[in-house]
Amino acid sequence: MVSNREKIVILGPEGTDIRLLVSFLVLHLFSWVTLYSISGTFTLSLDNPLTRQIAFSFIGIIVFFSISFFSLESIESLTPLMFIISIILLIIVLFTEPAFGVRRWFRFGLFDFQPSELAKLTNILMVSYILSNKNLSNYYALLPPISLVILIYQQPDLGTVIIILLSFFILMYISGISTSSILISLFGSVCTLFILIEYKLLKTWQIERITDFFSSAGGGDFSQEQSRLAISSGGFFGRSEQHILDYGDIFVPVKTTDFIFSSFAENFGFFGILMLFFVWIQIIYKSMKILRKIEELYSRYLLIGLMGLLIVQIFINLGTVVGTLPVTGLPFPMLSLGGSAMLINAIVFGILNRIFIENRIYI
Amino acid sequence: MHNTRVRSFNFILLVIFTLFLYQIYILQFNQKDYSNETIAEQSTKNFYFPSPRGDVYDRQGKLLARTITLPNLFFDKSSIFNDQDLKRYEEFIELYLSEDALQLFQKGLDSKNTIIDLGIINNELFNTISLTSVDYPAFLLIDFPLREYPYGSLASHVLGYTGIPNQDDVGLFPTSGLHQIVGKNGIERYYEEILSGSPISLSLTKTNKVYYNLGAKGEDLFLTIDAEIQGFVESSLSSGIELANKNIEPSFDRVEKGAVIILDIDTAEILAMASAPTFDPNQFISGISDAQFSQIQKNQAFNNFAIQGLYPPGSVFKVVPYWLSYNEGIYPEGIDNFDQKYFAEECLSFQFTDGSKQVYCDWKKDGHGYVDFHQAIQKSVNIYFWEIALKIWRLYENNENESLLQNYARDLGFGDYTGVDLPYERKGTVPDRQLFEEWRITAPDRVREEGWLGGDLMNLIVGQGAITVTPIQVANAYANLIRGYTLSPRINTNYVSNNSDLRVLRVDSKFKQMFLSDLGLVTDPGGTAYKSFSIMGDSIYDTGGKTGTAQTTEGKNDTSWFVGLDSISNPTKIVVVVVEEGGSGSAVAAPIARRIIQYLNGIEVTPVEFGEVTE
Repeated sequence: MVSNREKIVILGPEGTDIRLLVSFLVLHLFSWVTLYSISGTFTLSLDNPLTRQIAFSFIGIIVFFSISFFSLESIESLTPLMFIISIILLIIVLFTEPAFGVRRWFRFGLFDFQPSELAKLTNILMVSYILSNKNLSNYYALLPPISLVILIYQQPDLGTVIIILLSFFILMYISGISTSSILISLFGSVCTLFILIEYKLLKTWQIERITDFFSSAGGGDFSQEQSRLAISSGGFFGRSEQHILDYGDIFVPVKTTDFIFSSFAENFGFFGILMLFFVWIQIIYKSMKILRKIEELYSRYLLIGLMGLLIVQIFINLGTVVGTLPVTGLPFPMLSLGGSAMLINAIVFGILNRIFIENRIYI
Repeated sequence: MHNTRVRSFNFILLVIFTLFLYQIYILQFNQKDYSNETIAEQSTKNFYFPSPRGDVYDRQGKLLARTITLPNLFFDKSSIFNDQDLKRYEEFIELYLSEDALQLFQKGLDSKNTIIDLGIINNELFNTISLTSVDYPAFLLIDFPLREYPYGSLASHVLGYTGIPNQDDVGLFPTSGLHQIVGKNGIERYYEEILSGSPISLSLTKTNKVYYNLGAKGEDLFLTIDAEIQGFVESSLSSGIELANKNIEPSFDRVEKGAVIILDIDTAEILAMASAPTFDPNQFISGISDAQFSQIQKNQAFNNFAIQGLYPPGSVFKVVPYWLSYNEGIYPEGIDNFDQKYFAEECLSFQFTDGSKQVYCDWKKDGHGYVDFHQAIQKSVNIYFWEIALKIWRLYENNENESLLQNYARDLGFGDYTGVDLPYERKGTVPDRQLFEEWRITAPDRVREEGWLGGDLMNLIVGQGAITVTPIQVANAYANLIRGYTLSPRINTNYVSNNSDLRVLRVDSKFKQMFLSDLGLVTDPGGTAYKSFSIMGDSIYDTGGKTGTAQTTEGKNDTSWFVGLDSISNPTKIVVVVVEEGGSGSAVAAPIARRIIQYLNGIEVTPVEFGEVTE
């Protein structure tokens, strides 16, 4: 714990962790070059995916630094409020006009805000808040994910539900909570899922999407088949112009968002993927190193939770694009085009930055 | 505890990352060939050309529709590598091909299509290009089939014609969307899948590999039509229509439409089917102007009135109540059998159960006098049948037997598709109380507020009012009644649909005997068709038929009907003649049928003459 908060410097070599900042910026760059290779154009119009993403990135970088100025203590005290806000937003979004058959977005013209993205973050914040509070039983930690999951189910958004539950388990597991608590929380979550299915709160297509997958194991889905072709065509250094001329284009659905990884692989090949993985692995490595030193419970849980959140999203997206998991419709963190996700990821990196700063003296 | 969990978590992360990397490695290095092939396959472009359609023969083996192939020149852009090369082709086209082909070539260069269609070329050019094919590899010569109808407009409504498919056609026949030819009407449409075969395809991959699939010629079709009889029938129909126009009252429209069907009674095979006005299907092959097309459409020449014309049947319907009376024993009040005489006055006055007084008058002024049921058919005595309708009404009004007459009509096939193997058949209407109730909601202007009344049944029994039938239904009904069971009429001999819906009718040999003999009376002295048939001399005692004159809307002339039998001692063929707005059945339709029966029976054929106006 930092004794004198006033002396903390955010901007400058003594403050913001330079490796985290560079990683954060490199990830933006990866997203830009991938989007440029997909659209092949750059115009100043916001209809252009690259231009939109660059705009989102700038907002993200500002948010990253702004969040870094909040002390972990103030974030902790703001946590219940943020949780209540995301619950309210999730309720309001259910009363909006459905788009593509689901109620998932607040439409603001230039960009659509997805409150379930915020819920992923507030879930981690709230669970960490409860676990670190000595006056509250650990079992209360079950309440945030279950209440969020029930609301998100109504949209419906199966992918986010899975992310929230999995990141919750990672947090419970690594945080050192007793095994019985973990088992009870597992039991509670499974019951929730069961009730949702039993009372037909699950849309049939969501079940089908999963059962279809298991019956036709190995990427029977058309978009996954195309995604595998795109990844495969990348080779070591990415697909050449001549290869495109010889063999033709590959159609991959939603390749700026859910399937952006396959475009990345197509354009930058195995080498590009190694670079992308390297950036992520060293963020995880650094976090795990810091984790060993953190004594303060809230920061500790928060770091585990946020890392878990990022890792779960990466793995689920990778599983989807290579065809080992069913299609869930989730973005790849920091790579996919999208305003809400970019905003939330910037907050996550901002908090990580703050945790790194506040705990740098122990390294 | 903490650190074990962190360590195990780290280990799991590492394993998962490695597994993903391994999977991606496999995709990018081991599956490269498979992926390249699949990507190339996905970007392959296919071109389709029609295979020759199957030939169509008449029952004597005469060729009614055939396919000739002409060489068609295509230009494959993917074989061109530089502008100089392109220039060489352009010069060749300029030198040897038409101005149109050059334009097609220049337009095609700007389009996205890899293959440019330069059109059909003549034999001389075919030889030139074949000889220089080594120098001009981008030229593709493909035999392009063209449909030809050697007899011109003969049986055009049966044969139909071919054309470029629209969206609906493609929905129905998906392959027609590939090779861009589809049967639009007649057997060309009904047997599209059999006649069209499978298309020739040409696949161009991104790697510039070209695959040919030779396709398969369509299968041949053998029709029940006899081209000679068909030709005779068509000329008889047109001379009949001509004659009707000469005798028409000036207030009526010109007579233009009509239909004739000759149906084999035993087999339900259609020996001839004519519809007027007619068209020449060859017109569509070399392309037809919009004006020509809309003129044909305006004349309704595409309509096959033999299966699509909906008319009230008039007195030809009287065989239905005739059959009903025999089976049910229902006769006019005071009459118990077919032979008992009934006094037919000029008009019939009667009261319905609701007390409303009605007067119905026969077509014959002064009345028919004493007639039995045989004469009621012979002379088409409306009053006799109205009495039967009244009897049915009084017996069964508003109970389950109310639709007795309609059920007899439906048993013979009225109000439903006959199932003939031709497209766009219509099924007409047999009205009853239920239909009138429906119409009160869906088409209130077609029915009275009171709904179904006794008067409607009286109209129906003489084939008037809301009833509509097609000529093929009439031919089929008479054939069914003589045969004693139902069959679907058919136009081809090799693809026989099994008559699974074959139904045995309540027809005994005594009835059949009497029915044929009473139809025979119609062409005998005293019958409505006698004058039209008298020219045949003693042969008239073996012929038979039934006249019909159906009233249509105000200001339009009546529909002229005649159903003829080649013989009553050994009936083999039914001849149905309809002339739309032609007037009296005995005067217009009967002489046409008489001429056709003369031809069928192999006796001296005499011209169509205007007959006696009856009914």
